[in-house]
Amino acid sequence: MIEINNLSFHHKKQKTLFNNLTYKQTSGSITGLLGKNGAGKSTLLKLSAGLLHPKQGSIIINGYTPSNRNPDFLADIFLVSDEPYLPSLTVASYLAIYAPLYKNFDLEKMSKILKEFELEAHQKLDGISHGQQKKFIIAFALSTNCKLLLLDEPTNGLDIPSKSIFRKVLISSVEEDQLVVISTHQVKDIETIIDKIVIIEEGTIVFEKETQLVTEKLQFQKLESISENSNIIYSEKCPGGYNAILPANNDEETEIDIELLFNAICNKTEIKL
Amino acid sequence: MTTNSYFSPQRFLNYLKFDLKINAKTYLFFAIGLLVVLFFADYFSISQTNSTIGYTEKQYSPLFFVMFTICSILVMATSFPELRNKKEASHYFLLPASTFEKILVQFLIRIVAFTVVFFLIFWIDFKMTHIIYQAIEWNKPIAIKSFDLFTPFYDLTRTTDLIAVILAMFSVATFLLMGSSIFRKYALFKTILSFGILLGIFFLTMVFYSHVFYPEKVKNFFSIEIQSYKIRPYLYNVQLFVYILISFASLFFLPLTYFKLKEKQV
Repeated sequence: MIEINNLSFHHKKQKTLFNNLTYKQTSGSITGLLGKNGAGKSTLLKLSAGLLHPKQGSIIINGYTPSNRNPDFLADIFLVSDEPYLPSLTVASYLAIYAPLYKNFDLEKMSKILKEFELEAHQKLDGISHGQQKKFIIAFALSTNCKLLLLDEPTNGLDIPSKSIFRKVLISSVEEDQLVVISTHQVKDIETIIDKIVIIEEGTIVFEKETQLVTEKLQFQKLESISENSNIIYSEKCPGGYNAILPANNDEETEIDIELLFNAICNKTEIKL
Repeated sequence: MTTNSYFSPQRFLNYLKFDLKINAKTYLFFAIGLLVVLFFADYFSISQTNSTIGYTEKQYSPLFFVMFTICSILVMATSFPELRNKKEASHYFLLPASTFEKILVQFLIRIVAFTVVFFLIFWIDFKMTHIIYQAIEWNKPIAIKSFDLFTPFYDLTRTTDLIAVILAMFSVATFLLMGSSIFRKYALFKTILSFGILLGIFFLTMVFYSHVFYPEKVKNFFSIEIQSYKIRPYLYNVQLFVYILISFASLFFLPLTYFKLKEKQV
């Protein structure tokens, strides 16, 4: 579904962001695109949506070249940007005007998600908070049933209950033929919903693994002391001890700690799976 | 690539409906604003008329063309309003319609619909202003001729002149549309400026060739010397040259608008 080959890109008058980037991703998953600020996450999403054009190499999404902005391609992709543009309309008017543009739009699904997010049809979109705007556009994106959903920092501005509703709604809404790419630096927010982790650093993909494989091969433990344990791959001090990554022990599977894994990779720790 | 990638009647209709719904208030307020501005312009024009001569085509037609030119520039050079800021531009480019359909919608609304609406509003407004003027200034009666929708064009008795004027208006309109698709900031100002530069370049080119081909005839540095002769009765070579230039200009501007919009990045 996403096929990036030898992609090179740089913004005007800036140093190269991506150099020979190659990445492939089939549908049916929720992929977490992680990276520090300025790593190139949002740019990669914009390139995938056709808002930016590669300098070299190619991007193929659902069989289309995004930069051509083919209308069939645009009808099957939805990008939720960090600061979405919402016109001065009520929720109901927005749906009446925008929904007909997406042939697979599911109004029933939309009203269910709106109810979950506690948004009302009469609310003016430019009068609600940033978090509520974000919730609305996420609800709309999910209801379009587009084959590819690109979510750029979707949990930015959401309060704690909304973040958990977001996770619940996302898992229940995504179908087998869809691909969701979530770009974020708030890794904790999405650790329970993603099934693939992609980490970008300085324009290069430095880690790309299925979460299932990570949990099979690694253990994430809280240890009181690390001095007697020589197996530790990476550790960080925390209140009451250390958070550590260890090689998996066959009889025990632990919950993934993406933030720890992310920090390990950012600190150039070699993780072999 | 199929034609569906460029144009689909159903998708185009959906997108046209979308544009009309989302901009309904803007278009409505513009029409009301136009009605008010034209009322004051008409009223001023009537009030300046010499009552012994009366109000004729000589006042009506220039007023029409001046107001039409000003309003056209304002409307057409501000096409693609979404391109003015990054957030709206991203949203605009991701709307599921082809680039051609997006241009066609702007063309239909900003050029075709605006022209029709302007003709109607100008005509109705003038009739209204006439009635109101007579009611207010009942002691200063002015004889006003009855004008119809196309009165400003009646002076152009020859079909070739009429076609030339229409094509010139069309070419300028497509130039304004192109300018608004190229410039992100201050599109109106930059489009007018670039039009001025284009005319300036054209003028200097003519001056240059006048010096090259008729060095003995040019009176001063900026004068243009053209050999003029009749091709047919009522048709001079210069006229034909202008006709060809204005006919083909839009054939250049419209594709350029398409490619500029297609290449735009956010």
